[in-house]
Amino acid sequence: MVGIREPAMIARLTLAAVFLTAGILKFLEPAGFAGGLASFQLVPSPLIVPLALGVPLFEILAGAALLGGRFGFQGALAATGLAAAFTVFYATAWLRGLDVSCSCFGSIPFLQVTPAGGVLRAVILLALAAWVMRQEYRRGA
Amino acid sequence: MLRDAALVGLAFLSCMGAGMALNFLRPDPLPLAYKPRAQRLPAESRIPTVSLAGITSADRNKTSVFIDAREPDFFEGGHLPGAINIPASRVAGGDFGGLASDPATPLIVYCSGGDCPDSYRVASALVAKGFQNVSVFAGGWDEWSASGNQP
Repeated sequence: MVGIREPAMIARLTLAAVFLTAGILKFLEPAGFAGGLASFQLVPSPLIVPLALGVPLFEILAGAALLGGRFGFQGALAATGLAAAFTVFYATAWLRGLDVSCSCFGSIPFLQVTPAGGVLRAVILLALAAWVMRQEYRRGA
Repeated sequence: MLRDAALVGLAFLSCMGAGMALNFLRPDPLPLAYKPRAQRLPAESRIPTVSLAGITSADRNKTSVFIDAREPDFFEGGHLPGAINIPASRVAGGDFGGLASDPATPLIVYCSGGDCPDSYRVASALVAKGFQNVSVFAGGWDEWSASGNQP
């Protein structure tokens, strides 16, 4: 029998895997991620390197929180915030016709996407994160 | 909920601090002041850059071949006069779009502008292919179109 918790758990673990993978790959290649951030022309220069160094750790933290039980809601909240930011970044790049390369998953070729593909990927991630956040909120309420 | 948001915000700031601290333990730490790609390249491999004035002059005198490194959708929406579209994604597979210029022909590569990386990717590939006079118009399509020039 499939319990009501299974879809929520699968979604939470999927989200955790995505953020852990993205965080670790970016942590290993911070220079590529810094260049990617700069290519969006949204972040002021003094903030590019601090973000390139800090966001990967935040993603790893969010992914780890989603894996465990106690901080699942906070992890989902962080994932939702990150996915919302990615959506804004990619959508504005797409509208401005920029050929961005965020290196969101390091330099793995098949995970590099066009701005339109980036918007789609970010929106899917945002929907998943928001749903997991809702489930976690209900679980804790 | 507000307490959770504050906790997540605090975690974000802590990650920024931890990331900066860990940076100093890396074998090749990132300089804290971000430098665009062109300034980060070592001197011996640096691709020369061309300003908007240089582009205007090259366009007037027809002395250079312009190469648009953006994807075809963007190229079709507008490009520099006479530009050839050689997207970075094609160059990665060794496809130079039938570019048959003399190796000494001045080639000027551009993409959107800002710090878009594709112009440097294509320019580096052209240098590796044997072209001797390759430069990058860092201002790219954004600067060209903003200056009132038309395709």
